[in-house]
Amino acid sequence: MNFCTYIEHYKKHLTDAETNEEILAEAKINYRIQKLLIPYIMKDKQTFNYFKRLAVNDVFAEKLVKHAQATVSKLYFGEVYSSKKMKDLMFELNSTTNSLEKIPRNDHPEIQEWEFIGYAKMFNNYLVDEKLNNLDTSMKQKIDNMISKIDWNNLISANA
Amino acid sequence: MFFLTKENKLNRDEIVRRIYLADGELIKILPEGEKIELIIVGGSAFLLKGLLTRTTKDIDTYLIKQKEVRQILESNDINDRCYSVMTRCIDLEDRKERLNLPGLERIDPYVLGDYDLVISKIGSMSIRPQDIQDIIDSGILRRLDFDILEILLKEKLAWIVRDDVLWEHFNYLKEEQEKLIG
Repeated sequence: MNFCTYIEHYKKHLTDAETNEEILAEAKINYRIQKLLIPYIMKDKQTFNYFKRLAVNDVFAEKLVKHAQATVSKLYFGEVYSSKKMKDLMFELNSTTNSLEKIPRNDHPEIQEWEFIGYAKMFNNYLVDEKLNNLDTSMKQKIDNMISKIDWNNLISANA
Repeated sequence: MFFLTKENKLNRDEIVRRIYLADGELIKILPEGEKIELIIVGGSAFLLKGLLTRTTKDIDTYLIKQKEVRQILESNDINDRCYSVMTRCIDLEDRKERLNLPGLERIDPYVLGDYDLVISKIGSMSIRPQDIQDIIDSGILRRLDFDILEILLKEKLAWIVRDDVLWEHFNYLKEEQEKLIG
């Protein structure tokens, strides 16, 4: 599944907000939606450019754009997640954000460490879902088989 | 017993798939018979308990000590980065709850008990309004005796980053519970 489609599905999982304005409003009071917005605004050039225009007059939108660019740069250079797949994903998203050209490697706008880690995890969610979707048949069958045996009504019990 | 919605089951499925995936990779580095204990905290703990539905897919856990294990877990969306900013009690292991996932070979999974789940969210460094709202929205307040919670906070705290907000959050949640139960 391509990243754009994935992040649209993820958005529907986290929020009922439809328009960019609605999502932005919700992100201001819900940190999960703020985390989502960082990959979301990068899903295509049209969306990123929309938020860049908003950023001219909206401080929060400006923060999101800067954080998005910083996140691409930091992840590309191996912070938190150093896999090739993450680097390739950031290279792909750089075509939308131009992070690597605009922001030197060690010069990032003020982004709290916990914010960056939250954003980084969202991108890793995508890579893990891709891994799950592309497992070899035997591993997929093994996991499906174990999940089929779960008693969901007794998933959690007291630690005897 | 709560009613398990289709959405909740799908979300829990995504979380447990990550655990099984990590387990499969840990088989390659841990000898047979060796299991690592995984205590799940945060939003995914609420989700696994059926208390929240709209959480992100990553799984926060209690401290993982072995570096190689941590790397494999992290590559599967399971990480202990919240550990250092999580308010916790010295005896939280006494209240952990078993996660019943059949067939795991290298992971012994648990979730935080209800009291510790709430405690972990208050008084932490990165306190966000959403953390407090999660506690309220989840309905977990109905399951708590605030006298017990108060004793735990006064006598059993092992780590708190921001004790200036601890009692503010405690009192706020206590008021919210009183509104819920009347």
